[in-house]
Amino acid sequence: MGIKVENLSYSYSGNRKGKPALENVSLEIAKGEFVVISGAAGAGKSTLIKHFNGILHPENGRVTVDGLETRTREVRRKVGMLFQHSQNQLFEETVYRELAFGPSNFGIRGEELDKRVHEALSLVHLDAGILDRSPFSLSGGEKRRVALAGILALRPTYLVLDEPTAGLDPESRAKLLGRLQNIHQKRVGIVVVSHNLEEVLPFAQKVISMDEGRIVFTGSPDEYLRAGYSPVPPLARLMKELNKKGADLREDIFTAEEALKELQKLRQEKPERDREKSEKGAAETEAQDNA
Amino acid sequence: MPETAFNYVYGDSLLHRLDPRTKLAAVMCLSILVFREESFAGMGLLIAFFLLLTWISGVRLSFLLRSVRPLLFFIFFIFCFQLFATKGTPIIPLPVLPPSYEGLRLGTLLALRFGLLLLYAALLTASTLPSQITNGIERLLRPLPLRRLGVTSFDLATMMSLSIRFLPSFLENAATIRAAQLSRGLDLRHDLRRGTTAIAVPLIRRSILSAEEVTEAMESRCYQGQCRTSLHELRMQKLDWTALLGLGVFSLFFLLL
Ligand SMILES: Nc1ncnc2c1ncn2[C@@H]1O[C@H](COP(=O)(O)OP(=O)(O)OP(=O)(O)O)[C@@H](O)[C@H]1O
Ligand SMILES: [Mg+2]
Repeated sequence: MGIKVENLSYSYSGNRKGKPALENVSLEIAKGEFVVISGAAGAGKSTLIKHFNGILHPENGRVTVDGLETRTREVRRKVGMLFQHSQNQLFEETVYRELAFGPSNFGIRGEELDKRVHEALSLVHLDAGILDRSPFSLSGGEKRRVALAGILALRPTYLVLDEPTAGLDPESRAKLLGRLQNIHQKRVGIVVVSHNLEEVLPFAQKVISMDEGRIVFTGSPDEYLRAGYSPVPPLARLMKELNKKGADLREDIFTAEEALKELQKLRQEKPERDREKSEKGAAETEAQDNA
Repeated sequence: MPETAFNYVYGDSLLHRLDPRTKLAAVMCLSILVFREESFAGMGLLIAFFLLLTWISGVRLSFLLRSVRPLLFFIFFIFCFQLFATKGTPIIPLPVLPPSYEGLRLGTLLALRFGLLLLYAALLTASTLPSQITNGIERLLRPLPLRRLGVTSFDLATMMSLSIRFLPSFLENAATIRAAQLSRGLDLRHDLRRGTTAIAVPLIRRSILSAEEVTEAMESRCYQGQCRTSLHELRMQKLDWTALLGLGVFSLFFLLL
């Protein structure tokens, strides 16, 4: 089960001949897995995820979700998809109707619908007071949360997000990622497309890296770091730099807490004179900055 | 980009090199001729003239014909309307709305007329860059006292080129919003009315917002529509005057015949 992509190729009609947007892509995303898809602009990430819920159909190859062909409507419900600039998709008169749009398209009515709306709203930490407001009267950040809630109201088995943190301030980014983690704990599979690896890597169970329409790497975040791909998250880079100067620290570090634990090891080791001490100070301030 | 209706085709033919004003004047003049023409012989001559110009331009005929395709249904409708609604000698004696010979004649003429108008227009856009067409229209309108109405020919030209420039991004937005709503389970075949709202509302909103953004960006760079200069000032060449003269003779000859 899960999302299964086999030998998928796709090219946009009329695009430069001989250069497909996706070339022979195969991958598998298990139920409840947290996957990060990375890659440079134009690598084909958006094209790939549009195949997950049948917005695009394979030119060659096969895509199935829990064994279902993506042409079936059920797949649209199973795979919740939040595109970039999701704030632009709002259109209803009230936030309530906006959230009800998805489920009601699948024939859900009455009390069940009401329950879904409130459930989705609480998943994005919005107040019930917002339900009667017009979506257009909200701030950009709130609009995005409403858009995300609109997808969550479908109770998807997989949640796919294209650049969800783009254009958000650092605090909202952290909050959004926290929410995604909560949703993941409810056994929803999460696929995030992101340029900003350092912020999503801590949550990821699997990293897929793309380049020019092909998959160039699949593996765990640790393997990703060890394989020496760039970009490297700042804390991991810090550990690497310290190791170069003679420390012996783990390099697969993503969070400030982990970093702190590692750095305290330094303190326990016999202080190797002033040189390292001053480095430690610098390292800790940087760790705090990143936290 | 797929080749679509009324696109520019890169080239260096005689037609491509003409001043846009010459071509605009020619299209207007030919349109009048097309609309006045009542005989099949005259229509034939205008079609022959169109084919001649197409040959000169080096644009593939099939490309120009593609511009007519979106309106084919409309043209067919007009043809049928004339065929059945014109009173005259019936071709087949039906009790209601018999097709008549007069209707057939009228319908064919009208269909040819619309088709030919579109084809001449397609030839203009195929051989002239959109910016050049705008430029040409601006120069042609400049002598008119539009200022009294609160706009200038420069404003009109800017509006035209902006609309042309916005079309691709409009289509892109439409595709994105459609994909987003489909992802939320919108079923266009099932509920067309709701589908239209779900796509049109965000699309129009988005378009107005981006229009506002462009306005602000232009104003902050001191756009004014009173008098604008152009990087490529249009200049009529000997070729243009020759072409206009030729066209004049052709029209006169045509009208007198
Ligand atoms: N609608 C389209 N029509 C034609 N070509 C397209 C279209 N959308 C994308 N492409 C092309 O397909 C390739 C992959 O695009 P895609 O949007 O999947 O990249 P991406 O990895 O999502 O990039 P980004 O990080 O910039 O969003 C690019 O070369 C792009 O030019
Ligand atoms: Mg993309």
